[in-house]
Amino acid sequence: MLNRKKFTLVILAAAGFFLLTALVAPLIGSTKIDMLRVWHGESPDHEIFFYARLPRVILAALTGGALALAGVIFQALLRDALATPFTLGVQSGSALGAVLAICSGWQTIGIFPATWPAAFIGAAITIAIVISIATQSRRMSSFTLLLTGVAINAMAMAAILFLHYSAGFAQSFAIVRWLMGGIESRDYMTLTALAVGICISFSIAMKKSNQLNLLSVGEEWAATRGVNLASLMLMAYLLGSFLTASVTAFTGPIGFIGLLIPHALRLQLGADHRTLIPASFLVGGGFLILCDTVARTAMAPAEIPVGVITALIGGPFFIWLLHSRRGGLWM
Amino acid sequence: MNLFTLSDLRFRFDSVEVLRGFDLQLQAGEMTAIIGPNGAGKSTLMSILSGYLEGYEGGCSFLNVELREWKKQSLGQHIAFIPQLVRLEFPFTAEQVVLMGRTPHCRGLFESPEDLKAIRCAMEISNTVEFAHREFSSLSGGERQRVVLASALAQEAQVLLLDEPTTFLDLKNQLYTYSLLRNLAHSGMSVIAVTHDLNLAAQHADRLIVLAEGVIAADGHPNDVLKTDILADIFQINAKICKGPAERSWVFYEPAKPHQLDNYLLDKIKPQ
Repeated sequence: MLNRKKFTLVILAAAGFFLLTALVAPLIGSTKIDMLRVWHGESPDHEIFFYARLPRVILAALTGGALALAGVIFQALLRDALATPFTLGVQSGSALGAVLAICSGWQTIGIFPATWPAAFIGAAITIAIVISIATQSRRMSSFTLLLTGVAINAMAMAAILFLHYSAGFAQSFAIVRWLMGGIESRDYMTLTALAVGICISFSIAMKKSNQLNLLSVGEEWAATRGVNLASLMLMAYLLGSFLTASVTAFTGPIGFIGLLIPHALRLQLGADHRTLIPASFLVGGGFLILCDTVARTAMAPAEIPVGVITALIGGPFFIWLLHSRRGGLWM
Repeated sequence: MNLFTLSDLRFRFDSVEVLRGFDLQLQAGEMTAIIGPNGAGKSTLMSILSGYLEGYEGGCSFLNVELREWKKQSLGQHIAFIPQLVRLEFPFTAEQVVLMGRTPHCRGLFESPEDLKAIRCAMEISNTVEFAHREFSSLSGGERQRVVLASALAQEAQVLLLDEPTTFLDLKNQLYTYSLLRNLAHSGMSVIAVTHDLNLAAQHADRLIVLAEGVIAADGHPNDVLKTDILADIFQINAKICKGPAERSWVFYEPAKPHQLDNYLLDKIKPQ
């Protein structure tokens, strides 16, 4: 049962963690900045704050939130505790698009750096292929989705390996760098568009949170309790894929968040998606801000790929959580 | 009042025809038990009646509207279904599982006072209040079955479909559950249960349907259906039928005879 008081407390705690990281992270960096100088628009503090750190923090928040939310959605859809935003092939479709753009030598497509639209188009084509195959059978099932996604994943990864193998030295370096993933500053217009898309996806997921509870138990269970199974599964797949594709296009693949955050929160809060979805969104965002701050400051001026930090910080924390709950039956 | 009307109902899984065409009408206020050997099509029939399996041929209407035409939410308010087995991947509590039965009635994010009342009542009637806050996965098979029953009761539907609802229950709870189902039926609900326990069905059901090889082999009052020749034909068992409580049939089974066992295979699995 969802207790209003408990729900409010959980959301306040998650929002508190998110706000704390979001407010403190822009103040930390290899160069010290004075907030008074930032406020009065004095160089270089104003530029460092508004054009280097703040957009990066916003992108980290959106990416972390989107990947954690996509993880929750895919785990419910596939009823698989190990499902991640990358299980159904969207990430490899994105990566194939970006790698093709790098190998073709394109610098820009329209007004954007070539890898962004290429990664997004790659993901969109993957989604279309998976849906067209998965819906050909008598009914769309998680199992068909999973197998189709895994097959597409394998094919895209093989194509990436081939392109990487036949690429020149500079292209090969660019490919490896993109595949490592990372948060970089983006312009505010792009961030606003991304934020709008992610917030709309979040509100749809919240609206369907009751039905996701049922879907995470089973398809027959959901279908006989008032859920239109085909439309819910399609919505969940599209939502999770859109969230993954939209952030992966800008950041490359960042692993572990989609697995770690939902599980860590399930251990503490239980499996009710009405709490899990908003908590994962906020904590995922805060966690990636934290990891990105460590990534850009730990070995400054050099940067560590943020995916390395998410696993290095998140892994031990997750094991500690599991250890502290070892009396429980789940996991 | 006719709730379900089935006409020449057929269903196939790939090349295997599981239901091979039969007519059937199911009434309100009646407790119906469906029996039959493994693979007879009982669970498939329940899945069709629940609205889950839609790829059937022939007609299957509920309240004179074809099941496929019903909106899922509306159907969920009318028909509750308990599957054979419920396994949870994630740590839901027993109470949260019961609450899921209210989804067809829910309008917002939080439960309404009506939802809370229905959940409390369903948990009390199924004796599950004591483990409301325990993880569903930590419960025994019988306790889980009672929680799933509570979830279906919380749905407050007109029809209750149950696929082997007492498999994991101890004797006391088996008897309690069947008495509860009969009382629900006699208070106006329609209860349709698949079972392998012929005596539980004989003692509690108003109507017994025997399904064999995808068609209805017998249909009527348990006393008229449970006959030695029918049991021998359909289940390939030797049984004696006597009168039990309330003059209802009681089946005594004979153990399988040695010639029915394959001695060659038994030798193979003997400890060396």
